[in-house]
Amino acid sequence: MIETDYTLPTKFDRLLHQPARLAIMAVLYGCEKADFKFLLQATELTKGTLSKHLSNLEESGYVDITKSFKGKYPHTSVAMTHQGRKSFKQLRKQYQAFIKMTGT
Amino acid sequence: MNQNSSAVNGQVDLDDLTRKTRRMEFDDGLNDLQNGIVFLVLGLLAAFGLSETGARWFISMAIKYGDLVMLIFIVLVAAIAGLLFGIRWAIDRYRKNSLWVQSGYIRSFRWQVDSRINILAVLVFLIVMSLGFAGMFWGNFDDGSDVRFLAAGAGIATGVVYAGMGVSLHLRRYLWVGIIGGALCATLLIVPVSFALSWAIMGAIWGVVLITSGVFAYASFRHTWVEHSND
Repeated sequence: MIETDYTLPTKFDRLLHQPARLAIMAVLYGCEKADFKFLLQATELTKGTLSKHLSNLEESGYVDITKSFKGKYPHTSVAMTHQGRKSFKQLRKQYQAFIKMTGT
Repeated sequence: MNQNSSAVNGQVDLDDLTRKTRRMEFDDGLNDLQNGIVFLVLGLLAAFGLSETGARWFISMAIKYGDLVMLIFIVLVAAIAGLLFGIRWAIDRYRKNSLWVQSGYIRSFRWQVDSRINILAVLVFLIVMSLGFAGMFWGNFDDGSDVRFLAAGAGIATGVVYAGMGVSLHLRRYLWVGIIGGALCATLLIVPVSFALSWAIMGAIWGVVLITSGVFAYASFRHTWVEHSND
């Protein structure tokens, strides 16, 4: 029998439990690193929104952002940190537990 | 996580996004081409190096020329390794500077196969190997079956890896590559060929299957790429 813990959603990582940031983290979870352009296409966010959320994730230590130049053009690449990977994994587990519990 | 998980966060299917990112490495078919070339090269080397003629030639050359032959051998091994790393490097440059310019660039994990698939492949390999030894022990198979089953086992296990990746990444092409390659390698279980030839056949099967898959995938990827460029 599954134990009912109605407080589970309150334990979700609030920074990650947001659709845009979740999408970014889900993409980064599948690779070592991705550039800004790839994230833009994969998440279908706008440049401004993606930038804002990436900054939030970087401040929390969930992603590493490297800025460089490719010829004349700026190039941004993003990688998930160990802490980010751990937190994302944990959140996925919590979602699964919540789904099981509520039967949705 | 299943589709229900998207209900929790409103709109994001986490698994699908992760899967699409992981699949990026295989979508353009270049990975298949690279692995196909590796199998062909290794198959050719095995055909010569593991054969009686090859071994005899190598020993006679070593006696005649001594250290020089060893040096050439080491240089040859290094050249093959260099060729393989060179292909990897060229693919990476090509993707970075041309093929993936529009889609954006990712660096994939070095090893993309799930641990469960790895374990299953190793189990399949061990079972096929044990069958070869057991069959020979009880006299059901021919004398060379133990070593021939080694190549067959490796080939079938490779098929399990590809089919498993096809399932986990939702990549139908790999499912078929795994089934076809694995089934063709299984013929080595019944065809009595020498040890060297069995490895050569296994290398040739996987070389041809992967290069064919790679060429088709690349052509289709390139077609989509050109269409997007014209938009």
